[in-house]
Amino acid sequence: MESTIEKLSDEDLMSRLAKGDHQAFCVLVRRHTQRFYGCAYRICLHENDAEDVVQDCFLKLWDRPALWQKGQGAKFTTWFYRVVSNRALDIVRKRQCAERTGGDELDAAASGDVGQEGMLQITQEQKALEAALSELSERQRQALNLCFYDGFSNKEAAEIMGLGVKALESLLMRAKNALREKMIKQGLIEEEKNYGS
Amino acid sequence: MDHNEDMEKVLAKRFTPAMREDLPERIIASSQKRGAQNRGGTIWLIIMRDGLLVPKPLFACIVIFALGLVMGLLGSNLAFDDAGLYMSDLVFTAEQVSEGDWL
Repeated sequence: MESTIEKLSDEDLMSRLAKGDHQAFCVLVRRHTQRFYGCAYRICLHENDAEDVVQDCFLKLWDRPALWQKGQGAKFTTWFYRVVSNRALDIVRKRQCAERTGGDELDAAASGDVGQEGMLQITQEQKALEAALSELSERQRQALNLCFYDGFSNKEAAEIMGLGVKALESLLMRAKNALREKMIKQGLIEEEKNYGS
Repeated sequence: MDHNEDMEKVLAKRFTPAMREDLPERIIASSQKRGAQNRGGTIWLIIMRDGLLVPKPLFACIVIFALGLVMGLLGSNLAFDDAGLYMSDLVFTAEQVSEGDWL
């Protein structure tokens, strides 16, 4: 039973979940937690927050599976990424607000630091990379995350961001150009006389 | 070496700490607890709430606005007619008022 349900597609599992099938929910959670944790982490830059985001989103899915509508033609992963990234962005904005109003809960996201264990492991180079990435606009950073780290194709990333594929490609190009300049400033890569995109 | 390659090498080194291994099981355990609450008494409330969700808010706003405009125009005509009726009833001329009315 377990093995046959594990072979089902995400969309079929969602159909079963809509009927209250807890097994289907378990398979989805085990299949995607790691991936969406990574997505959430790259937005929050904080392990505990990223875990909370993923947990909240999966529990919301369990409570209200009707939020995903198969008829709209979106893949489960692209739809769920939007749910996760919106929740993660909410948390980041709340933190930024708290920081602006004098709260000291957040050093992590803005400075590119990470929590507890990550703090020890992170190298100077990675800190510089996070700083460079944090200087990009939110859209540019999201495009880079989707295409470079989260394993979405350009078409899926464009769908998630509500753009055409060409618009996404040009956004990516601008993100890479901006990042290249910031990396050169940070000393992460060397400047070249001529570089094309 | 191509600058793009250089950059992608640096990007590939981006650090993502591993999640706690028990996270999926914690999510599943929480869902079981919530399931016991929700699937019992309040599930019908959730179903009703989901049923009332507007799938396309912009479309719904435009339809409501258009409907309001039409009803407003029709309503204002009716109100004008009604007001006309009452106004004619309320207008008194000197001939209509006799001395006895004052006493």
